[in-house]
Amino acid sequence: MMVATMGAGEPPRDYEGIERGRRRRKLAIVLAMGAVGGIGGAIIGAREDGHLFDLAHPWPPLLCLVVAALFLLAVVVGTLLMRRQVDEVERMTKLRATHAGAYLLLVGYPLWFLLWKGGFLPEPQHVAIYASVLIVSLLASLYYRFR
Amino acid sequence: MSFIPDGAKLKNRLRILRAERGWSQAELGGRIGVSRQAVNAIETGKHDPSLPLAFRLSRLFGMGIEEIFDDGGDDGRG
Repeated sequence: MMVATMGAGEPPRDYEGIERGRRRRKLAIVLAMGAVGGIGGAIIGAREDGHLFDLAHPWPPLLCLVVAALFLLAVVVGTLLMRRQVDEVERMTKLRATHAGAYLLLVGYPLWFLLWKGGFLPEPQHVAIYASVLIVSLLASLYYRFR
Repeated sequence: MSFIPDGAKLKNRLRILRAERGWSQAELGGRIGVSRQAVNAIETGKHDPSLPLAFRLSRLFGMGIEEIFDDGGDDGRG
């Protein structure tokens, strides 16, 4: 976390450079996590050509275990590294964004489930729910970032 | 609308105090350990700083927290 401070009387440093460095490190973390996701997707895509988007078709258990471990490792390490680069304002923005996504999940899924049971909607789709949570979290993050 | 309550928004003299010293937002942020965007969010009242951050600002400017931030004088005791 960013907590290093200095007094008013201390000589100025290259604060713009420090800021640019911090932005570069954050970008590198995001790109590294994206690369891990891309590698996982590429492995599955190469092994499951033709069945990648067929939800009814099972994937090899070992492949799923390896990619799941890769995903978990990337998320945990990426989160720990990112925590050292963000300050309290950005942390609050991400917390609010996550909260918005969680709120959608807590309210949206039971509503969809009830409306499905009542015959008003098709059966809840977990991919659609997950994508909705991600999209709402992203939109909320952008809103709190640029409002 | 926010899902997490912001609480009462504080007014502050941060922009004035910073300008008096000729500091950029990035410089002030560097001195108190936050980003330029964080300084901007505090100056414009979009973010109320945490108590530790308020204390860092207080020490940096050599004045009390209540001299930097103004909650409108409502002490909540009716």
